Amino acid sequence: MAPARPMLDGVELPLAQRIASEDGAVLAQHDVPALEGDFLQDLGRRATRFTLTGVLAGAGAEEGLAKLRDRFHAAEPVPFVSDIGTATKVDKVLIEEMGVRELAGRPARFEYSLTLREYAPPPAVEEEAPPALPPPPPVPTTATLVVEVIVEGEPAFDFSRVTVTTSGTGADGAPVTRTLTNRNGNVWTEAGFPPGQHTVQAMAEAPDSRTGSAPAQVREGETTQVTVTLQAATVVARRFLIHFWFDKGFVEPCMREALQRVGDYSNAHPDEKLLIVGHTDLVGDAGVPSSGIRYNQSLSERRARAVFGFMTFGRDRAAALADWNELRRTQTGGPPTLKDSWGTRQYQYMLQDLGFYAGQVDEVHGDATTASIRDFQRDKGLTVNGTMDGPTWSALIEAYLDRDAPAIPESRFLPNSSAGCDGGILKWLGCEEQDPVRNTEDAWRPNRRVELLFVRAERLPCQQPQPDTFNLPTPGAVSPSWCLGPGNRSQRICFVTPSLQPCAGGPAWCRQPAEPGTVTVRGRIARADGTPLANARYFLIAPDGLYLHTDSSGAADLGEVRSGPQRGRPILGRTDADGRFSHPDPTPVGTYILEVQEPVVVRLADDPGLEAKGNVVCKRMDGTSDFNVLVCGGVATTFELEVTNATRVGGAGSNVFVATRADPGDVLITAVTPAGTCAAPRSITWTGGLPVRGHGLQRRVPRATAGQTTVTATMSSTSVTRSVDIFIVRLTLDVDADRDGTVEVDGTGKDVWQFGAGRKGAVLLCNCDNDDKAAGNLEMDNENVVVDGAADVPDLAPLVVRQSGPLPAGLSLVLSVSDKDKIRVFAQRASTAAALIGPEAALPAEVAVTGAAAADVELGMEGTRFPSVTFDGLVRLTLALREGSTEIATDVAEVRVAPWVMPSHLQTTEELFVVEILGLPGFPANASFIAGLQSAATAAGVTLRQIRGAPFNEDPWAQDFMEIGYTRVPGRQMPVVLNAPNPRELDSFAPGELLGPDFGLRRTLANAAFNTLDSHGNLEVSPPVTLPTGAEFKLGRIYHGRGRSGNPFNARVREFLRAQLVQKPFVVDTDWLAVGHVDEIISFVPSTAGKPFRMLFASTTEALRILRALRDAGRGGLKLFTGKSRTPFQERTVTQILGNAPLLAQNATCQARLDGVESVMAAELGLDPAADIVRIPSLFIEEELAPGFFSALMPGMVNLLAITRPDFARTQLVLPRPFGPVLAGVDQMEQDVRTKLAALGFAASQVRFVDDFDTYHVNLGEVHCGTNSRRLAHATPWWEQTDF
Amino acid sequence: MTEPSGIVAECLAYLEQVERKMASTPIKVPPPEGVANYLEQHFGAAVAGLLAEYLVEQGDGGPGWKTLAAILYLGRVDDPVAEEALQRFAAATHIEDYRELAGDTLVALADRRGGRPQV
Repeated sequence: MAPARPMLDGVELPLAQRIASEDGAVLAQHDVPALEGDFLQDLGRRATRFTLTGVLAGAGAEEGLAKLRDRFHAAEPVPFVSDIGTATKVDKVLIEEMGVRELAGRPARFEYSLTLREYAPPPAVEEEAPPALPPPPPVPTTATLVVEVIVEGEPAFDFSRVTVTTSGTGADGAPVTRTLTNRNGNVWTEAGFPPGQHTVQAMAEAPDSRTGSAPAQVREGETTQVTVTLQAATVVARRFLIHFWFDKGFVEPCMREALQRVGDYSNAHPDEKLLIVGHTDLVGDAGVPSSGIRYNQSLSERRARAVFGFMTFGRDRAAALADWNELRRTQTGGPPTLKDSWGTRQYQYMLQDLGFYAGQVDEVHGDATTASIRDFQRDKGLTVNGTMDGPTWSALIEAYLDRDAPAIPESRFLPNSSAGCDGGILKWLGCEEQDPVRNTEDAWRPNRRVELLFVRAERLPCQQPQPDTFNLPTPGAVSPSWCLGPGNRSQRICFVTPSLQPCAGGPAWCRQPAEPGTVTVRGRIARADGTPLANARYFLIAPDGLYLHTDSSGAADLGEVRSGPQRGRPILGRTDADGRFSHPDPTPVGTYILEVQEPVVVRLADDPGLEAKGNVVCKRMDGTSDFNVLVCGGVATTFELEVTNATRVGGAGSNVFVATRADPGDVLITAVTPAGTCAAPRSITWTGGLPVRGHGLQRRVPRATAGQTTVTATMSSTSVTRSVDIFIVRLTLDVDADRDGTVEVDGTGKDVWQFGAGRKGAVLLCNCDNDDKAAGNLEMDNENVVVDGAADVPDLAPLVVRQSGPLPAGLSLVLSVSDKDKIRVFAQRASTAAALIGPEAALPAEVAVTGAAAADVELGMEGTRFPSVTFDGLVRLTLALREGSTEIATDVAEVRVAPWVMPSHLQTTEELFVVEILGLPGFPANASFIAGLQSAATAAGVTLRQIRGAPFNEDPWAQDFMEIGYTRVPGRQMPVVLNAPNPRELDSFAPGELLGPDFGLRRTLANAAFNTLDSHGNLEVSPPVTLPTGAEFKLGRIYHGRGRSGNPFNARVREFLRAQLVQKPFVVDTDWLAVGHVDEIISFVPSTAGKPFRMLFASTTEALRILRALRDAGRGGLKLFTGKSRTPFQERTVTQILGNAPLLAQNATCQARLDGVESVMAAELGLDPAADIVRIPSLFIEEELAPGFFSALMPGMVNLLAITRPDFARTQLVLPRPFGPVLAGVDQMEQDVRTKLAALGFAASQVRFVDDFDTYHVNLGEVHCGTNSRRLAHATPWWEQTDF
Repeated sequence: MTEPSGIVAECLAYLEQVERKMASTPIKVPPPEGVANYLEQHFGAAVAGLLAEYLVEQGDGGPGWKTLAAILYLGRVDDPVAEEALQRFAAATHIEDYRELAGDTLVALADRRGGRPQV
């Protein structure tokens, strides 16, 4: 084959020996169900790849090669021409790989190998047109008001106590009141605020009341910012409003609900006094402004007196009736007068309210009115003549006031007294027209009002002139004397800030609505079948007295005739074609009055408990529902009883209902008439249950007391009678949810277990002790189905099923648990109690609780296991009220099995353990060691228990076979020993010798092979610590060595420790230690200096520092391990140690590992390495027979026993004697440690060095390894731990 | 039965010595990694056959420390007998920790033998 001659970027490659091209298609394979073969999509071809090999030779070879190399490095496309390239229409290529080899012995001759890839220019960037501009914002029609409230000098002021309200007029002149609710700190922002002139008022609640106000000119589309400075407030007066018909003091029926709320408020606020103050509008005699001052004074007092009589009728019937009977009389003569000239409208209202008159309240005494008067007279035993004579008026007033009458006691009123004058209570005041809400001389109902003011004050802040009607109808009728004068007749409202002024401090009270908030009113009038009452005339009155009227466009409009003969009368509105009505402006929360001026009888649509009285409907509007009105289609002749807030039992048609005490709301029984029909007042008579205020078709059964109530209703007109039986059941499962050791009664918050002080959730003991061991029982108490004797009773947590009261037939109380494997429930907390629920196959997961109907039943419960990886410790107990298998109601308590907790060295030591060794191969008798230990124990006042006899005495390592922790429930703690999972001679000590009464055991499944990392010298816990993050570990944190490859720390133990939750474990690096235990290098001791503890930590640096100091002082000849000969612990000098390079290298290695451990300890425990860690001189040596692993060369003093006592002076530390270099009779290593411990408060007598050299030390252990301890629980109970 | 001699005897003596020494310590049994370190340092691959035979013959029946030490040691020597013994042991053992360690050791051996080319 003739050589090809391709050209690459102008360089001819004349001796190309091989050119190859490679093309490929890009195929995408798609999965198609059931398709045989592949469905491939051709996505075009790949860039062609060329490979060229050949030789460059001759004079231009090097130059050409350099040019190619430049192109290669530039990574830019280059022209390429070749026959084979032409075939694929390639113009430019990228050099992908380039290899060159100079041939030996062949100067200026190079072999080359090039890989080229077809260059495809990048596609042009498609430019997207920018998105269209958004439409311009709509022209604002409202504004935003931003109110900043400040309290000077009190940056920490609690602004959640502050209420911000506005009052003023909108741009259209309409009054606007708002309560701002959108608060962020001390800034309230109200979007959609109506433009206009407003006053912003801020007020902080008592105690420490503050008020402040500022004007706000709010402009359309703008954000208006105002700042209100709160200052010590005047007394705040909570205001309820009652409003009146023009020139009348009659309290209309719909005001009854508002006044009953006043009574409720008074009952709920016994520390507040009530003042009743009457007002009039500015229309005087004959409608001539400013000419009727005396008249209006009298009128304002009549209104106040009417309200006072209404509010006190329940306790002073005669006085109230006397006033009302005087008020109703026709006026004769000029003011002052108590006669208020009530007429047809007023008695029509009363007759309608009492259910005698269902016609229009139209002031026309027609036949219907006459008939209703006759009915009333007949009902009351009066002469039946159809006329409103005196006796009829009196009886009607009495009946009207007698409905749900409040009875505000005298003690709730301010005194009418001064020095030497006692006029009883201040019953009412009249302020004529001196305090208009709106300064208009038109008739305006909001000005015609009585304010009921609740204040925390003991008397009026200013003098008051005697009321004009004070001695009417007879002197002394109101009070024996007036003691609050003389006052100023033109300053009758001196005790409050005028309505048209903002509160600005001073003695005058600052009035605030007792029920703040606004609603937007809308409603519909329709028949039961949905047919609307279209185009119907009506008028609607807001709680502040404003007639709500709209013009033809739906905008708010004047709702009251302002002048002329019809002044003060409402301007009627009309419903739309769908029977709807509404008002666009927000209006106050409260009672609204709708009078339908059509010949219909109506009632509220959504309240079937109400009778239909006539054309007037009252509704409290708070934003939760619309004002929907039902037009009655006929008089009901029958009814059924509906029961709400209770469950029917006994199947369909049964009249037996059940409710529990815990459910919300009374049980309501409603007489429901057939759809479209209505029942008139008094048409249903009831027995059983209690009346529901304002609801003649309803009775209620409160839940306060468990028991059975039969409620019967009879329709007198048809003698239809219905009855229901209501059972109120006390379904209560009580536990010690507040963890105070006592079971609460009707406890709350028990259903969700929570960690933390003051939180709720009962605790259960894992009953793992053996209280009847003396009787020969070898089982733990929770391993059998009996209560293990009287001593076991306190270990059972109480669980009380409260007396339920009688249950309907077929119902029962059933107790169940969420996991019967984790808990056992006994029938009683008594030694003879039988198990009801438990893990055994023979025991169920639920059981009927008998006997609870008549008395409380106390059960006992025990935990059968500690929390684990498969058990979070929580068990849910459910007491269910069941009918057959149907659950009607439940009460739930969540309990937690107490975890196993490890005490730290800071906990009080109660008992010490050591194994008596009589002599073993390589381990001589330890009597001397025990004597030293005993001496320290005696000094501390702690019992030292010697573990004696075979097989125990073949295992000196008392620390390693068990960890004595504790478990705890309120008022009770119990030591629980956790046995180590290694098979060893001491295995049977804990189950055989420790397990017993009030000493529990938690067994761990033994390892198949011994693993030193699973010894409990490798399991320790820190004292309580707080991390820099703020995380608080009130019981300290568990730490252990992490284990080695093939010898991991026992997974079951690790998971068990984690599952206890409260001492979050972490691992440290002890792999490098031959024994591998954390106690070889870390210990914690108490301290009286600063932090209550220090971490003692092994340090080779410290040991070598001491040795070098001795050498430098010419004491290199001092000996360590004097008299010892066993390799490698044989006697040697300071100089020999410091000259032993391999030993120094080993200790440097150990120090590096120690540094890593220290970092972990400091980080995990939040320790300050400088302040919290005390470095103890230590020397290590590599194990000759196990290279790579290290043991203590010098007895490890960190490996100590802390015998901790509440009295620090009795605390003892027992450390291994280091056998360090002795100078002037003082072991220099000991001395270093003594000095460091003295700084923590330890006296010399509290620090004891014992000789464990030939026993424990040469066998790679020290004092801590050879001892064990039982300690008391932490001061903080585990359930208060909240960081995990 | 003939007495072991030479390096094998020395190895057996070591194993006996280290076991005896550790029996009275908190470790109770020698640390397997330390034993493997010792075997590697003192005998190189010379006792691979001995440990391989031990591992296969004893299976799960031997002391845990010795089994682990054998696995760790065999994982460090370049001897086909080691790999075969580890494979047989891994297939036969009923102890999860052993199987896991033997498996990891085999993977490490394979990685080392089929090492990636230098770049």
